[in-house]
Amino acid sequence: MKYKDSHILDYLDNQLCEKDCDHLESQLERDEDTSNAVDDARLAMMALHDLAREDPVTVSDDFWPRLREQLPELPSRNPLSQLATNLSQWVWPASSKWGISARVALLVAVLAMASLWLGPQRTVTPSSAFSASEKAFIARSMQRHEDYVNTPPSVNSLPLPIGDAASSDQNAAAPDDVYMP
Amino acid sequence: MLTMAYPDVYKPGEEEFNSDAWLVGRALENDLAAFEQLVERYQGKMVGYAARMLGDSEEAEDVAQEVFIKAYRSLGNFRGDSAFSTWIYRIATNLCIDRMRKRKRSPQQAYSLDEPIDKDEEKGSREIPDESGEPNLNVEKEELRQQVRLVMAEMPEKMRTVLVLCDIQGLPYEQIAKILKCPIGTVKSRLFHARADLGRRLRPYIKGAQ
Repeated sequence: MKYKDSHILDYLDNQLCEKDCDHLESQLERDEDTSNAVDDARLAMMALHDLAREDPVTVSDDFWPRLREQLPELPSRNPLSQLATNLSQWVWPASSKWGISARVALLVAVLAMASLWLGPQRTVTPSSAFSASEKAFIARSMQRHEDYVNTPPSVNSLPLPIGDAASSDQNAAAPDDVYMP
Repeated sequence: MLTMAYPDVYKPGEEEFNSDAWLVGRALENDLAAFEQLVERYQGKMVGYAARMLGDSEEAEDVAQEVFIKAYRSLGNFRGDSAFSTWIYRIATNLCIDRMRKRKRSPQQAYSLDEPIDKDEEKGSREIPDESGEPNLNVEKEELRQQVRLVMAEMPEKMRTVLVLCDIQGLPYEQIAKILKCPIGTVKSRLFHARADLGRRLRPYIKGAQ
């Protein structure tokens, strides 16, 4: 088929530009079946518009009183629906100014989450992470730490840090023992 | 002249107070007058839509009442994703299609060609055009309208629905697509074929009228 139905419908609605309109009409001249269908559609539109205009449907005067008698208990908003509505209004507010801001914020948040989730992650495997020399250094360090823990030095042999709370008490007890330049 | 201290402060306008969404909100807060306003706003459209779909104005009022009762019951579930008009048209479409299917299942509902279309006024018999002989040159517009009703009554429900929604109710394609929950291209394609089919079947009468 050379043209889509929606294209012809736009033509019937006078929505096509002059160039497309001429192009379609030249095609229709060579396609009798489609040309007839377009004419039929146009006739139908006229007939339907005439029906709507000349034969309006009226509503009886007691429509509302009859309806009111049949109405059930007053509706109550479904809590889940209420929550969904509030959430959607918060994320997608009706105001265009806030709507744009909310959409941008949402987009940024989604991108950030996606980059965290899908981005390259460093996987560390202990066996392959360190070289032999590094492993030896770690082992030595751990050995020194164990030695230090097992044989703690005496408190008096270490210089007390200045300003420390414990040091100030000890310094108060024996001020002459400590040389302060 | 008084000048407002804060002229840019947001003030809801009268239009917003009368919007469908606002009235739905009021109805949900047990304001029956708000629902009455919604009914007044849409009763003509609903009765008209059902009348064109079913071809019976009395049944159309019943269906329209059913539409509003169903809408009232389900108002709590109306999330406002689409317009209230779209939502209520969707309810009406489903109810009309249900009725049409029930008719098809019940043989006593079949039309008689001798039965008048308008039962109250006893006029407008259901005639089949005599296409073999020369066309009736005295066909008037009213008869043409009756033929339109007849041909539409014989159309498949999908075709009839788009014709009524677009060409009689005057809804835009986008809203029809939302009501029928189908792509806009499908609506356009269906509409073109429905119009072409209707026009083809009306052609003998229109030629006769001309």
